[in-house]
Amino acid sequence: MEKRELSFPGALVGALIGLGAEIAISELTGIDLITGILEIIGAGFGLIRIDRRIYESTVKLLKGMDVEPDDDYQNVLRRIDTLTIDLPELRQSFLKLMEAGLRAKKA
Amino acid sequence: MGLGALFRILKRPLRKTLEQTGSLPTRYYLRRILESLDRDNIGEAVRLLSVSRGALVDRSRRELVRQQVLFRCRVLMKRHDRRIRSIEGRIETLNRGGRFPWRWFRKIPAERLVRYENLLSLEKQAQSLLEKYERELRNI
Repeated sequence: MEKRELSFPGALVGALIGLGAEIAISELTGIDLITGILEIIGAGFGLIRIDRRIYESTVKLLKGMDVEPDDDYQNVLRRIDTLTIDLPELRQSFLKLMEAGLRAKKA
Repeated sequence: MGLGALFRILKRPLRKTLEQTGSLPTRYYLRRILESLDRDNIGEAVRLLSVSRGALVDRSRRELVRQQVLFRCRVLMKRHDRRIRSIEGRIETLNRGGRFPWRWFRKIPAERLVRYENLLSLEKQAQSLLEKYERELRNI
């Protein structure tokens, strides 16, 4: 494969053209394009981060359950069932986590 | 650096006031609720949950976090319940041994009894507090 060489003047010209285009678009249409794109990217990252945080918290909750050494899968499942009788979304998350754990253990 | 220090100084007193208005983004509240949950601070989590409004984009996340807090509350209640039963059992055992007439036999159990009774009242207080939080969480 041909090795690509990075050019500093080329990057500078590209940046200037981009800036010119952004100014022209915002002057002609009144839309602040770059700010909008950055906001969308920021919001996307924010959503990913909070989802990750919620996932970590779910794992921590599952680990924080009082499990006896002689408890088997069915016992833990029954306990989760009694505690999440009116919490359907959380129960689904727990079940998915436990299934993933079992699959990993089998593999 | 000066601005950062100033921001940190102002953040603490202003945070509660701003949070109480409920006008901050839902994601901020969720993050703070999860922090409280990490420390088992259920009271703070309930307060923040009741203040946050839950914007449309974050409504399902808020609901999941509410369920997480409720679940943790139940786990802690079960734990306290088990401890209460264990302490009550020990108190009963000590009370059964109370028929010994000699002081040297009774002294240590009497001290232990007082300690267990104090512990029992603390456990019951924690239990009733968690029950209150559970009721509040179900209504949010």
